[in-house]
Amino acid sequence: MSDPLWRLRCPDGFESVRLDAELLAFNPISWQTHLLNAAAAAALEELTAGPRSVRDLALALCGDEPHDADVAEHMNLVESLVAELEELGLIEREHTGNAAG
Amino acid sequence: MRLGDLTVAEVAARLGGAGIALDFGPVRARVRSTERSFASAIREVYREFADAPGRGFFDVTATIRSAAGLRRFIRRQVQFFVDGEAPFDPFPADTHLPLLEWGLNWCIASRCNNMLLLHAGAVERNGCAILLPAQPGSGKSTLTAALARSGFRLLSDEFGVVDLQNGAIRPMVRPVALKNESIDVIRAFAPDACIGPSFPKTRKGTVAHLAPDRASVDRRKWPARATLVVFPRYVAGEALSIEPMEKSRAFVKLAGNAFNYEVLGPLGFHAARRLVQSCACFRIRYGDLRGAVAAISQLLEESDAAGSPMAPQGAAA
Repeated sequence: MSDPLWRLRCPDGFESVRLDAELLAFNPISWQTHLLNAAAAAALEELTAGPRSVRDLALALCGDEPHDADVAEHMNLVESLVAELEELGLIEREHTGNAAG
Repeated sequence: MRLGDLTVAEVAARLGGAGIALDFGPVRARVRSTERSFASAIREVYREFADAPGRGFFDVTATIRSAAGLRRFIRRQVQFFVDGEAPFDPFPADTHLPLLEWGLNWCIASRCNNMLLLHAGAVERNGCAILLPAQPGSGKSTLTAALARSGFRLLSDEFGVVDLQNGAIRPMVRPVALKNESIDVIRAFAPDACIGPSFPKTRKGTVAHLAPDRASVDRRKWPARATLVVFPRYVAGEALSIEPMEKSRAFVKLAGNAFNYEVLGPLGFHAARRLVQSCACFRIRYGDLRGAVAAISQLLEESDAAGSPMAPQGAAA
């Protein structure tokens, strides 16, 4: 089973700003503003460039020369970040159009 | 003609007729009442305001009048009406002015969504605005009043008004509501200050209102450049301490205590973002009012944002 892709739930109205090390993200659906820590900010900013899998995000968070061990270690962190961002309504799983799903 | 130039009888006649038209800057209100003692109180604390009658749009049309029924005779009460509706329970008749002020606050906070309304005091010097956002009880009004009596222009006591188009801080000039001990604190701080009658036993204790000075009233159409955001906290006996505040934390606190941040959606987000990005943000804890005023003056002098005054908005009365 392939690693699902995640994307911004509403990229058109999504707004964010870096302040200090943190990110303020405005959710255009709920009109709520969320203060995200550096790791969540990095994941969300990566998703503003387009859909990503958890592994893609872990790779991005590892920096320029990721080692497999580092990526594996980051996968758990990224999975929990993705779950939290989804709960906030900022991201969603990309629909592939496959009815079997 | 300013209200202070009219006799109490003349003010009462206007209140009982077409009403007195008050221009706070971005908001105009028409106030009516047949309560005689109310005329005396409003004349005192709005003494520098012109009665700006005539046609035109009023954001609020408020009336203070006696409650109906037996309350006209026994333990008299008054009610606040806005556009014919009474949104609050009646107040004791001798607390008419606090009732008007709270009623106006409620109307402004719930209606004026063409600007971001922070719960903050605001003052200006050299074209630079200082916002003092705070929770009730933190000494915001006392500090705002002290700054306004120390060479700063009063912009507002209750509402830090942020222009959604350009991020400027707009005045919302009205009397400063002082509560309990802070009334005597300001009397001692500025013996020449005009403080209206005291109203004991209100829901917030004893309340009295500091009348805005003439210069602040006359410049109520002149916005100022957002420069400093200072979160004050009065703690009795505490030595002065000032610490820079992370902008992200300042944003969260500002948005959290704004009256209409969530109503404005993306407009509120942009306005609050621009505000914290353009301002230096600090926390200040103080036990001595003069020390706090001096420290805030120093912070402003150290900021490099001083510049030419901004142009007025709308016609100055």
